[in-house]
Amino acid sequence: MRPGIDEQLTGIADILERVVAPAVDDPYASDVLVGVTAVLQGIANGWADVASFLAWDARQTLALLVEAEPDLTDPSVIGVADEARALAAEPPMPLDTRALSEHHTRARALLARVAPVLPEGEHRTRVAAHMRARVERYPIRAQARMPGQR
Amino acid sequence: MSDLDIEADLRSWAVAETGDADASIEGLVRTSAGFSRENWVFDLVSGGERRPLIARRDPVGSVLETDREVETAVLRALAGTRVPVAVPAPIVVWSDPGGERLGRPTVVMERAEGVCDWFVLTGDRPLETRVEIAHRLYDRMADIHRFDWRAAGLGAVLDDPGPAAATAAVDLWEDQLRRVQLEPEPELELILAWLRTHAPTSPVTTLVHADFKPGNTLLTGDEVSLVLDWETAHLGDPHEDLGWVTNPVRAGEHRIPDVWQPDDLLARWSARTGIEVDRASVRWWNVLANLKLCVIVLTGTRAFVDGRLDRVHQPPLALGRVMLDMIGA
Repeated sequence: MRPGIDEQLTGIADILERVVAPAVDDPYASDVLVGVTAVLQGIANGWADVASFLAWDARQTLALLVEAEPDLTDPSVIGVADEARALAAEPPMPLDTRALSEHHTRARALLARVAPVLPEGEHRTRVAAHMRARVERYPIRAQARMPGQR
Repeated sequence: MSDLDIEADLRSWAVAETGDADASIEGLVRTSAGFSRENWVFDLVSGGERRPLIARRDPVGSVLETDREVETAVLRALAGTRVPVAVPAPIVVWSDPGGERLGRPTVVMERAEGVCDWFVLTGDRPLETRVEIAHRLYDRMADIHRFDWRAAGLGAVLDDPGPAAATAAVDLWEDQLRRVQLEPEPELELILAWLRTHAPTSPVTTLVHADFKPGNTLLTGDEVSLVLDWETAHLGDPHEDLGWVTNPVRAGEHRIPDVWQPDDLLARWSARTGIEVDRASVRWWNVLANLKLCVIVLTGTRAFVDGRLDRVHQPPLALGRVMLDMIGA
């Protein structure tokens, strides 16, 4: 499949930067265009890794929640480990990105319930370590520039 | 509403305010600066005089949701400040908090001379000059905290959270998070729980700018001629502003390597205000500052997804990692 998705996105970002941007005089539109181009380039670089990221993050999150079961004593999270176990037992088809995204959101929702009440200790440390690890692995890295930012 | 509509509506507004049927709007341009407001610069020509103005209109979508009525009240209260407590703030010319003039709430202010430089402290000026500018910048911030808000009548328009300012700030930003979040945010849930458990007590209630930075000031030469962007100003703990300007994430804007560091800033601020700095409180407000930045980004994300904002933000993952480090998680 040529041009591939990343080739098309990179090419469009390049056209916007080389052809369109120099012809835009309006300062607001010009600033918005710079941001749009940066995002397109970020998606071009990372889109292919999105599915594997979602699957990995959900798998790791659910495993951590199951392991943390002894610490899940707060009334608000009783049964969360069982929910995580059940969710992990039904992983989505790896090529179904919508199902992957939904599965990932459900795993993160369980972690969102647990994170504020997980007591200090080994399991909390491991959850925090995963939170840091997923920052490194997040596939899309395009940041809008702040006004005046160098 | 097109640019032409805005020009016509601004002219109608000008005629109503000045009583001059021949008042005109010239050179109307929307500038790119600012994420939270639309900024339209123009000249008002009336009675043979030309007056440079700026209209700051609420956008359809924004990274911040604030109240023009409150902003106007704060600016009008600050308009009379003089040395030794001098807070140079924009002069409000007209205000329409109800949005009847331009379709959305708008404040029209005098357009001041001066240069906005986000990174003036690490810029090209000689080191000695940059240190002097740093002193002037953060003395202005200290003066905001010295400002007698009670005497100025701001107690009638702003809530005083008293000693519970920190908890009030967590409530405010959590509420905003709930209104805009599109997906679960486990990292922020963890941080919110930590903030609630460790919330400090405010030693004194002052006016808080809440977004003080070189990029929200104008310089005329090496002098700080104006402090801008008062839309999030409120009453609270002055440590909030200290936590904002000493946030390690924003070091590139607020510090000069080796010579203007948080210790220097806090010592100078304490000497000028007479308020003792609580270091643990500053660290707590550092964390709150980053939570706030996260929520601002997520507010922009929500507005983008809803088709109300022309900018795309990625999730604020790096800020989440910084906060985990700050709280020792």
